[in-house]
Amino acid sequence: MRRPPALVAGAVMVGIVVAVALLGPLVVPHDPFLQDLSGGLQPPSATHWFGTDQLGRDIFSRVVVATRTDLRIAVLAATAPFVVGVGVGLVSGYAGGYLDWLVSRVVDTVIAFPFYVLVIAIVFAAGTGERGILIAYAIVGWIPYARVIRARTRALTRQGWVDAARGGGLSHPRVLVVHLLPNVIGQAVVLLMTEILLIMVAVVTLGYLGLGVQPPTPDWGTMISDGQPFLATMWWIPTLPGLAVVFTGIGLSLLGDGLADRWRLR
Amino acid sequence: MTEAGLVVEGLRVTLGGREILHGVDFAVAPGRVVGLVGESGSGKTTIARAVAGFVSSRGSIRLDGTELGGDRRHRTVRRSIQLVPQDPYTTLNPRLRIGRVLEELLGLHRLPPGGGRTARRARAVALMEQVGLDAAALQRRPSQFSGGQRQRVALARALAVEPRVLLADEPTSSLDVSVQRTVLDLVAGLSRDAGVATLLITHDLSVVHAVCDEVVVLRAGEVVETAPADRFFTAPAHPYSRRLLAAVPRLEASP
Repeated sequence: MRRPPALVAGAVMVGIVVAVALLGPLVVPHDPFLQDLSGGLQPPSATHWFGTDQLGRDIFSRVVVATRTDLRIAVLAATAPFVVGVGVGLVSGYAGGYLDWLVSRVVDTVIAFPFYVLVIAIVFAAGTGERGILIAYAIVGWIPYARVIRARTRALTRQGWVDAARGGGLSHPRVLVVHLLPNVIGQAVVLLMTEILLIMVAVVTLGYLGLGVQPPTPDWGTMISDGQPFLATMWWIPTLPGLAVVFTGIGLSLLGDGLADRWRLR
Repeated sequence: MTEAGLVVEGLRVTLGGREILHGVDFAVAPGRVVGLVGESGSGKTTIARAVAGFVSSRGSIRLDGTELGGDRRHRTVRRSIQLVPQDPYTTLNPRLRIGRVLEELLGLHRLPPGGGRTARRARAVALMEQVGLDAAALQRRPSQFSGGQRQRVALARALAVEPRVLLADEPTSSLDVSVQRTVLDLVAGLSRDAGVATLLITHDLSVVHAVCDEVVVLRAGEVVETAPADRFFTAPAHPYSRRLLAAVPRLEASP
């Protein structure tokens, strides 16, 4: 079968980001924490490829090291909601009745709030930084999965093969896991790609608001926010970390799209 | 005297606040094929789904003298009544290979008795051959089958668990006329051979004429006539049955 170009491009881009996250901190040209106050605000050069920030730290090294932090938080924050959301959506859509009613009302209620307002509120309550972000996502992040998977499961449950599996003597858990799950998991994985991207943007946004990763740990969001005053005069300080966000975002989007094409039934 | 086969008495089903079946009675003896006829909306499919346990019902559903009612918690109970649904395009799980589905069912019910994985493979191949497909079909997914082939697979799946009752809900309504007859003969032939009590649901009287031993005529959720097939076609008792028969289009031989 021909591979969709989006899938290949996305996989390559995400592969680069993952490789940078894993290997980058081992091979960076400079110590990302090392300050050099006399050598601050330098433009990109052969020694400092992305220039230096106001404290004289090497921006390229900081962008590379931040990749690991941001990607780790995003993947960790995405995992629990994925598992919980798929589970809740499957059971709710399959069982129907009061359980489904209850789940649907909870989902509707959470969706009624603007997402960032909820996340920011929870991070405020749970504490800033990585731990707060993980808690916030564990609380609200499962909602989109539950919604999508519930709707899909509900539609499939009316099809003859679900009755046939049950009628053949299979238990409810077996019908859910062996028969329904393979039919809905594709959508959940595509959604996962989007969610990882949204979480990275949220981490960056929270960093920008001072609620995210705390200094001196490098993170794209805090780098952008710290570099913002220099945008007009020294564009590279906020722009190059911003491009890292854009590159990762496009990669994950393409990968999600490609996987969606791949999983579509032929 | 113990009763054999499927006996349904006073079956009532209410869906969405409206009573669809108003006390339906009929019986299907082992090895017999009973045609359930009636126009669209008369409740034919609801009967099948109630007997199979997919919708809740009141009244009595007995299998070989044992009351089942709506209780289908035991997998052996569910296994003993198999439904071949109407729509061949939603009857098979699009993600699973046919062989996987059959072997899962065979494994669950330990069929054939005492056999291992190899025996189940062999049984799956035999089932495919019974319904006129070859062993290679086991490796395929539903999208690689035509509508008629899917109905054959659905029939094989139903027969895999060795049911005592087979409910075939218009198994040929969405098929080519040329394929209809083969699938019907298959349903009737395999049921008779295995001594399975078979309820064949249809609105097509020529189908009944071709394969059924008895006819149950349903109208607006009530049985209006039950008769052996030959008597039904020669001397229908109920006026509605006569109207149904009169409505059958005929091919006039040109002079």
